[in-house]
Amino acid sequence: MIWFELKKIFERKLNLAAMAVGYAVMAVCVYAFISHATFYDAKTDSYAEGIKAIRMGQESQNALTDVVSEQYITDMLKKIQSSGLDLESDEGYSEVIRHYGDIFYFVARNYTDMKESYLDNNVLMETDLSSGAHFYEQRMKKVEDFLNDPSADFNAAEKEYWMKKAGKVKIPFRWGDITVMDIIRELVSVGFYLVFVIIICVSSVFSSENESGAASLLLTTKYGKSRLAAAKTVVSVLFSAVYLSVGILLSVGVAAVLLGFSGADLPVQLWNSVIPYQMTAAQACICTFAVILLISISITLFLLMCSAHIHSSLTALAIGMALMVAPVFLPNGKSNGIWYHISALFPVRAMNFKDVLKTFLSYPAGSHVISYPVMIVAVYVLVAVVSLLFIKRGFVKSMN
Amino acid sequence: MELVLDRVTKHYKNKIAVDRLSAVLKPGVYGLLGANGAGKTTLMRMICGILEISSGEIRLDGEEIGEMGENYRELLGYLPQDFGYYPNFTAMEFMLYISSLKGLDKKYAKKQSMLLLKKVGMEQEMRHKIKTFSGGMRQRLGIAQALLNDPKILILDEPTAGLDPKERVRFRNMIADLGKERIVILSTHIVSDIEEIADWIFLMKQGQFLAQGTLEELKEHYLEVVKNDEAFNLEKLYLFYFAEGEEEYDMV
Repeated sequence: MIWFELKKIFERKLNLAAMAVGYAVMAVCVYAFISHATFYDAKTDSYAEGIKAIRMGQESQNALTDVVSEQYITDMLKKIQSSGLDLESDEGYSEVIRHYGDIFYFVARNYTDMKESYLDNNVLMETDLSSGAHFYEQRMKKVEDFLNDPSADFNAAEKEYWMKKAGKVKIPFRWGDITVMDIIRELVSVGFYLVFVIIICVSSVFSSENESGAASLLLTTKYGKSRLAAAKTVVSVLFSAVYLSVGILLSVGVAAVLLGFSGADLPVQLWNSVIPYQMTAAQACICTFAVILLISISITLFLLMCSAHIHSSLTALAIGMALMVAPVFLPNGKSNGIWYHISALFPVRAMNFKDVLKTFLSYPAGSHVISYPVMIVAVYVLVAVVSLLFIKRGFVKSMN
Repeated sequence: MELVLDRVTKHYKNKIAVDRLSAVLKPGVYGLLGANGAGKTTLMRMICGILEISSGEIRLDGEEIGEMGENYRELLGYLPQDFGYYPNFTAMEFMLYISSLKGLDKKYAKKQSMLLLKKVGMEQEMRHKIKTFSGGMRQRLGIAQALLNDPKILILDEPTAGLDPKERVRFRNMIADLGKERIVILSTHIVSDIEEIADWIFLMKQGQFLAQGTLEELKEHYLEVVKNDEAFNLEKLYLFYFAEGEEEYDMV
């Protein structure tokens, strides 16, 4: 039964075309993410590109320091300030920023307000170094300022929760080049586009049986009202999980073969110093994959439920697409307002795990605080379970 | 084996599709004759258990069919009026798929599928994809799948639709054979099909049985009313019962 249900998914030309396009997008992304890397080679006064640029960048960043120590940051900022250059100018870039590369932006971002979307490089020229750089103190102050901002509207429990969580992160941070892990994380995130393919393939699983009239025969067979719905559900979930996993693992595999896994053990704080979670870049990539997989399976089950109840493949497909695309055009809402909390759970935002990690978003439940990642998991598990409960019912009652 | 329809009713909002039908069916061929919209398909779907009954009951040997669940469906063979075949499946794959849904053992399913495909004259096409089949071939495949589990209750909704005259004769004979040891319920608006093979005929109109009986009994009743017509046939009876020919029917 399982084999025949799988065959039904693979026999549709639209499904096959969508699957091919999905993997083609992944291949293009692997090429684009790697080939677009550039690195300025001071020795030859030229820019290296692609894998060579990534390797040179790794050497350059790894040579700077092993640890983001207060002493290193203080010395670095003193050097920068002694140049007296405008860091927003071309000269400032070529004389100072280019030399430091990623660590410059990492430090500058640490001294920039969390609400500020624009990174002002000159913030490092104004930093008071009379008693040191106070890099980690600044990190906590930045978090505290954000939490205490009246417009953010955090309650006392949330403030305490986030301060405690941010304070638990192990410091000083280890330093190294995180570009490869960034590429791998991006490739995992591109799995978002594979969810569109999954939607195309599973939205017709039940409804096509009603549209073709086959349901009237299938439901009269011994297992038509029991194992058939289960088989269709298992096959759809398996298909979604395997298609998504193969796409992501293949693209990550190709990147890993070309670039290795360097930076896997570096802390996620190198992406943004305020991230309040204690995990490595590799763990963050695995979590990104797990969240995308969970959301895909949840969407699969939700669409199966729609397909079983609505009896129209096109409507089920439209619902799936709307779920993925419509939230892009919806406003995020007032910072920390109810709509902001809801819109953050739509797939398009929940799958962007790097943003999830650096977003101080929580869901207060009495005296408890549910963090954003936990809420994502809870919501999608709930959607999956509820959908699962109603799939069979929809199909079995479909002839009435 | 006894299948009892006890005041079986189906209504959709304000429309009554099947209206308090009662009958006791024992092994034999039962013909449902009626125009389109008479309620034949609705009744068959309720007997198959895919359509909920609004009121009344259908019992097999005293047990309500809904409660029997899989045990009832295990005894059932059904050919729907219009149903989707999977165009990229071969005839054999389709038979094996339905076999798996009917819970048949793999080896037995393969053997039975080959046997039935041969019986319906499709042994040459068993490896061909369904999308290459004519309407008649699909119908033959549909009949073959209905017989896969050697059903005790066989429900055929317009089984001869799309078949050429030669095939139709072959299927009439096959259905007559099947009716010897099982309940075969056959719906059609092709009068001659019923005339040839049905042991018992139900004439349906607007969800009700207008008349029922053997062909002889119906003839007797007809001749009682239309005294001067000696050349009786079922077509005349059909016209006699169905509102001065305004209903659609085929004179085959």
